[in-house]
Amino acid sequence: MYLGTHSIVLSSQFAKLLVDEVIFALPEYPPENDMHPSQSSSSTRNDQFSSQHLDFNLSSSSSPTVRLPTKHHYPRSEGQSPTPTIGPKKFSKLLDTVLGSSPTSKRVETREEGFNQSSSQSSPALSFDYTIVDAPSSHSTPISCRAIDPVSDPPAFAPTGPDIFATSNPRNRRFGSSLKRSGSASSDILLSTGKSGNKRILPRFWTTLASPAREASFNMKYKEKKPVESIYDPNYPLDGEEGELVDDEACFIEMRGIDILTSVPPEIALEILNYVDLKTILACLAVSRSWSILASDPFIWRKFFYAAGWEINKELAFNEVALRNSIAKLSLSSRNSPGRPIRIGFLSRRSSMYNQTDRYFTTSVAFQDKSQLAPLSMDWKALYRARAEIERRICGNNTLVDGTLGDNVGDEPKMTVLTGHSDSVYCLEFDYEKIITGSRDRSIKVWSLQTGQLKTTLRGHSGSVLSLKFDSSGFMVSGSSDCTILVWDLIKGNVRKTLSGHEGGVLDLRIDRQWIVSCSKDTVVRVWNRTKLELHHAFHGHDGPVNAVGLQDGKIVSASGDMKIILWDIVTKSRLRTFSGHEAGLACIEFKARSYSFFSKLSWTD
Amino acid sequence: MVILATSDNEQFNVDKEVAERSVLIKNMLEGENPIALAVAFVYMKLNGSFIRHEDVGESDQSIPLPNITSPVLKKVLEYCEHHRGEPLPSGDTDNADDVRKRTTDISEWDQKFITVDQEMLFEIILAANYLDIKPLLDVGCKTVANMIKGKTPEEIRKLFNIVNDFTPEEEAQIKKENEWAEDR
Repeated sequence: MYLGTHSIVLSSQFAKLLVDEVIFALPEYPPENDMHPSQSSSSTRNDQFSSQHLDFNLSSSSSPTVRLPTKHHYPRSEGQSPTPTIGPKKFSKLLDTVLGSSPTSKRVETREEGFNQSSSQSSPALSFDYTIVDAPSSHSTPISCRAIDPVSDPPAFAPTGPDIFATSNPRNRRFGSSLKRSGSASSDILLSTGKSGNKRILPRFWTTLASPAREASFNMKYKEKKPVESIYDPNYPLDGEEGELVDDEACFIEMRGIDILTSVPPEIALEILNYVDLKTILACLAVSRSWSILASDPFIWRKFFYAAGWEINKELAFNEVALRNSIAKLSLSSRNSPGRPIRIGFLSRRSSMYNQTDRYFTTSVAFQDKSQLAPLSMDWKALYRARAEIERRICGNNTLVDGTLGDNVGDEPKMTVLTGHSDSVYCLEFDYEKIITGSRDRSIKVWSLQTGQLKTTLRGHSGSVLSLKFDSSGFMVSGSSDCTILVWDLIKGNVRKTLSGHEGGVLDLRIDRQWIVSCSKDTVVRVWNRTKLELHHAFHGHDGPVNAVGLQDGKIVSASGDMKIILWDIVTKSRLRTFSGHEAGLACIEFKARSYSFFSKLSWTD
Repeated sequence: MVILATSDNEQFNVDKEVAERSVLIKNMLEGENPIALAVAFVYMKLNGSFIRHEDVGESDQSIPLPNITSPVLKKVLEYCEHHRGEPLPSGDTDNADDVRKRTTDISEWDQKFITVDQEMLFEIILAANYLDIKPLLDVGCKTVANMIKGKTPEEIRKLFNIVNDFTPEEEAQIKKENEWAEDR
């Protein structure tokens, strides 16, 4: 009889109407002599309340409050045991709402007993309420039909009941009762309306679809009860003691949830999620697909990002977004093709709920004006995650707060030893795919960055390889203690040219698009034309071996063992400035882009 | 007095001061914001309430609220009544500061007020959004947030009657994805 844990929420008006209907349809009440044994103890009190209740309904226009003496008179069956999850107040609400449930239910019982004696005996947890609003089952169908539509013939109506109620979606079931009211013919119309639209449509629907007699009775019961211009009274009791308000809320047979988060507009859902903490957001990601989309929204993760005290380079961010937007616009049509399934957070952030690209574009523009927050269109979830991971590695070095070693060993830095050189390694350069080393064994070796395997060995120098530089085009230069610089083609693996001129070992090299700069133990800095592979100029000025050079925008800095740094201009072939102050020889120098600042570092004291 | 008409043809006589807690109604009455007025007008038109433009704001005409039912409006008006006279929040409060620190504190009265079943809570949120009553919307959002807070996915599903539509593989992947944050 009772369909497990399904919840039926009945629009209050209907509850009222149904109930009124029941009361008025059954004037021969009460035949209480053949009460069910399990209820016999409370029958007398129940009857009192019921008749009182009935009187109220017939005489007064305001809804009375009727309380049940105790809960267990109306056992709710969950599985088979009564579960008192509804508090006393809630229950009185419930009773208010179902209003005439007492007479009805008795009516049901008596009917049943006349109908099928054994059936009611075998169900001790007989639930009165469900006979009104829940799915009609075989033996309660006649009475609920009657209650719902006294005009129609009960047996003829009965077969449509179960079909309508058979839907598995609780949201739809909520309107199942109304379907029943307006007849099965309207079922598809009602079911096809939107989530929240359903409920609002109901009154109108019911007025239009109901029979004239019903409409008359509706007007009588409803309109006259509430005068057309009811004055809103602020002192009106609102805690549910006066039945009317509660009546109107909803008829809760069982407290079951509705998916509020995905039912409200997405912007409100995000507002809600904006209030919860990280742990909860992570839980939300795992609730369902639609929750995952909401909980992955950059809006939320940006908040976490900033809340963690992290900052982002806004200039770069805006540039990237501007670029991405132009790309996104081009590919928008193909990406948002209809029928494409919604993919969840970690697969894709695209959702059909709103056009994210457009939204991003507008927000990023808006924020650009305020220049307070970085644009929303970035993958803030990924950013947050990466940032958190970095922080964890830096701060903890995989050691947790309590000092114990973290358990994810996979995150530990791994060491791979590359073996192959037969003597000391003097220099090393690498990019995303390869590592290149120069050694005292006079060879240059190219290694795979991914596997650590030796890819090739380049031989050409007759002395130790002291320095090397390469770029992504396959252009490489190497300087050696044999006083030469070899220019290599890494793709072919051969030497393009030997640049000679230095009279001492070539200690350091720099390259850019135009120039090759080399410095030597012979105190000279030489600049070579990269295209022609010819000497452009030799800069004399240092009094000691030049250990390091820097190259930037046609300017060279050189650091020497004579404790001086000299800034040179390539084009004018002139010395621009000499920096002195170090009190020992200089070993290395870094000449950075953009800021034109360079820092030299003292590393050996002789 | 302002007359508000709900979708179920009930009418409420409300003090102008109370009704104007709703920015929507306030704008309609004042006619200050032509855009809001136009939007409201179109909205009502779409919802089947045929009102003439000049009807809006006339005190002897009712303002139709076609997507609010009387029980919900009653509840909303209760809120507006209690908070009458309080200064309306200024429009641009949600800036960087707001993003950084957010509390879910709800005042005692509001807490009691919002202790309703989920259906009503849902309707209140929608109504507050529609009527543009920011403080009430905030209370509603905070309440839902508090309901979610600290719960496991399974508890959330149970609370809101949500069906888990992830495949086991996806679920495993989510679990793996979320591992990074567990020790935070």
